[in-house]
Amino acid sequence: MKKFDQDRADLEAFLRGDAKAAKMLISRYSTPLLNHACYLLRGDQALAEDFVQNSFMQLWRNAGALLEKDQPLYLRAWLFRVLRNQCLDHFRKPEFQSDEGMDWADEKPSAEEGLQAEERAHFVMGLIGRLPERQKSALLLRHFEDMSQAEIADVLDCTVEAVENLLARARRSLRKWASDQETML
Amino acid sequence: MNDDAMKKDEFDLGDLPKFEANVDFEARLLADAMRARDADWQAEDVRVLAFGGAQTARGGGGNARIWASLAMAASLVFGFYLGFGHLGGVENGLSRIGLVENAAEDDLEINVYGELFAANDL
Repeated sequence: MKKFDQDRADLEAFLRGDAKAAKMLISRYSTPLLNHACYLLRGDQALAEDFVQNSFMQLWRNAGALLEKDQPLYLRAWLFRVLRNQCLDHFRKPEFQSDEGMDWADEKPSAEEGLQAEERAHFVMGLIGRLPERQKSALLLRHFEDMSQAEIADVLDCTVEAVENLLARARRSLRKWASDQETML
Repeated sequence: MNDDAMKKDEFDLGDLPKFEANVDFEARLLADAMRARDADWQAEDVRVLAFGGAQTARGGGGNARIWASLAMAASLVFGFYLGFGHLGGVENGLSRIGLVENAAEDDLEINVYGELFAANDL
């Protein structure tokens, strides 16, 4: 059974009162959503959990309406879109306007730290944090979720060509920043 | 550039740390789901009650006034519209919430009350 068919079956079962179906949906999507939110929210796991919880609440409330649509149910993209919108709203608050956006603060390793495995991960996280939000979202969805460009386009509400551009620009920036940083180290 | 070509050309992100949903968090999400489901069921139960009351009031019968009163009370509390005397509306409403399918006028009451009792464990 294809994933979106399984999602539809589980959502229908949930509406009939099947707790196991809800549990299946939660198991399938809670970690990917939490991981994505943590990266978008600079590692703030508590806030990420709140947003993931809200996303699932919207799913339960809108389950009937989602199922009424004739088209295949692209639930994964829908959930990521709902989650991402909350993250965007969060960073639109006035207290974040002076900030540089969704940067992962203070993740740059010092020259003394070198670039061992874990440190490299932090180094890369720091670089990802510097990316503009759309580039960052596209890259993370690609890297962690292995989403196709079409699915990323669905999440970001843009064309496949735009996703291609976002990923290309993200890769170019990361390569340049990594090269600059390593030169400095 | 297609997906495969892009993969080859990607900047190597390496093994980035992954944030995992723990058991407690998943339990919290499941509790939310069950609350949402129960709230929906309660709303549907009241809707059935209202429809059932409307139907009984229309047809008369031993408990007509009680059911009609309950239905009216439910409609006042929950803001549901009651289509007294409008069997088509009752039938459509019940069909919409999945309790009866194409119920004939004669057996509608049985279905209404059978499902109502089952839904409320009466």
